[in-house]
Amino acid sequence: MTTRNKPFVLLIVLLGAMLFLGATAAASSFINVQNPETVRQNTPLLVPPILAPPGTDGYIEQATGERITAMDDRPVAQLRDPAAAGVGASLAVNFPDLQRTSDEDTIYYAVLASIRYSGEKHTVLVTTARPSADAAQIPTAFGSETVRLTNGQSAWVSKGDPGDLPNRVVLLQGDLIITIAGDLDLQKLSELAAQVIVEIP
Amino acid sequence: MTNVKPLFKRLLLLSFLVGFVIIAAIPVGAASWNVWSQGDCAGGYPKGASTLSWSGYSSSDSGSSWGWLWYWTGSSWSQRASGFGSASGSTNAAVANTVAAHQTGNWTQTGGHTATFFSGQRNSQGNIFSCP
Repeated sequence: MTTRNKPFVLLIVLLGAMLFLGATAAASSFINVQNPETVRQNTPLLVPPILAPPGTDGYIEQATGERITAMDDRPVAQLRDPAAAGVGASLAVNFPDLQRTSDEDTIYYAVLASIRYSGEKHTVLVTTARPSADAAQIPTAFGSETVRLTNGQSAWVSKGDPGDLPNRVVLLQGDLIITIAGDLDLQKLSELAAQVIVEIP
Repeated sequence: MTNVKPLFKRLLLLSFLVGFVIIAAIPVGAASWNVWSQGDCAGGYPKGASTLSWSGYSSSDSGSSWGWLWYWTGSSWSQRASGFGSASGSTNAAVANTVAAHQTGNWTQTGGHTATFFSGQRNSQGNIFSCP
């Protein structure tokens, strides 16, 4: 190696090390999320269901314009400005009873909170979930396509699900899985996903 | 006599155009694929199926489906069963069937699908169904 080439070789080695460290950091985060585009045949990723309570029972109406917090210490993901997306007319909150997980369950996703925002024409659901230790380790796809939000964060989108909230954007924050589902198109839901905040008491 | 050549050229061009339109109008079988998941409690126990179906591809093409059956415990979605299915051929379907022991409440099926005719994994989410 000539002295003249040394800086270039060092730069390449440095870049390689940074890429390796970045990949390692992503793989060792709280949740083993993988991009569906990278999957090879015969090595599937686990596909969780939409992480929201089924149906519309258990929701309690709350005043709009206030931060939503839980009575206990669970974090609650919510929209900073639901009115901007036309879903700020009313909201209802569901805090599932977290004592109800069975001992036989090993791979599961606890739904900590679910907020249903409604406007004149559209409905958006924002949910906060946390995987079990086993579920967090399994390579998982939270959508069919990887996107980058306007705030630079990675997210995963799905569309055409059955039910009245067919489109979905999922993003991670620490060990939390935040789902934004609704009857808006994916572009609008992605814009809403970029304005999600997590309220921790 | 000087106009014969341009006339011939025009007729030739017209015949090409007509031929092109005829060929373009002939319906050609387009290749397509679709993925979906669904479940029900018929027969008294929860079961689901995740399907990748395709048609119009090469006979050497193949696809695989993985299915997961989930139960709502009241606070979480818990995986209770999983299944796998694969198939090959120009037109076929890969179906992953799942079945779990009866438990009253809400269930749903999800699927992951891979194939030689698309890259990556496509996912499917089934309906939420209840077992009485």
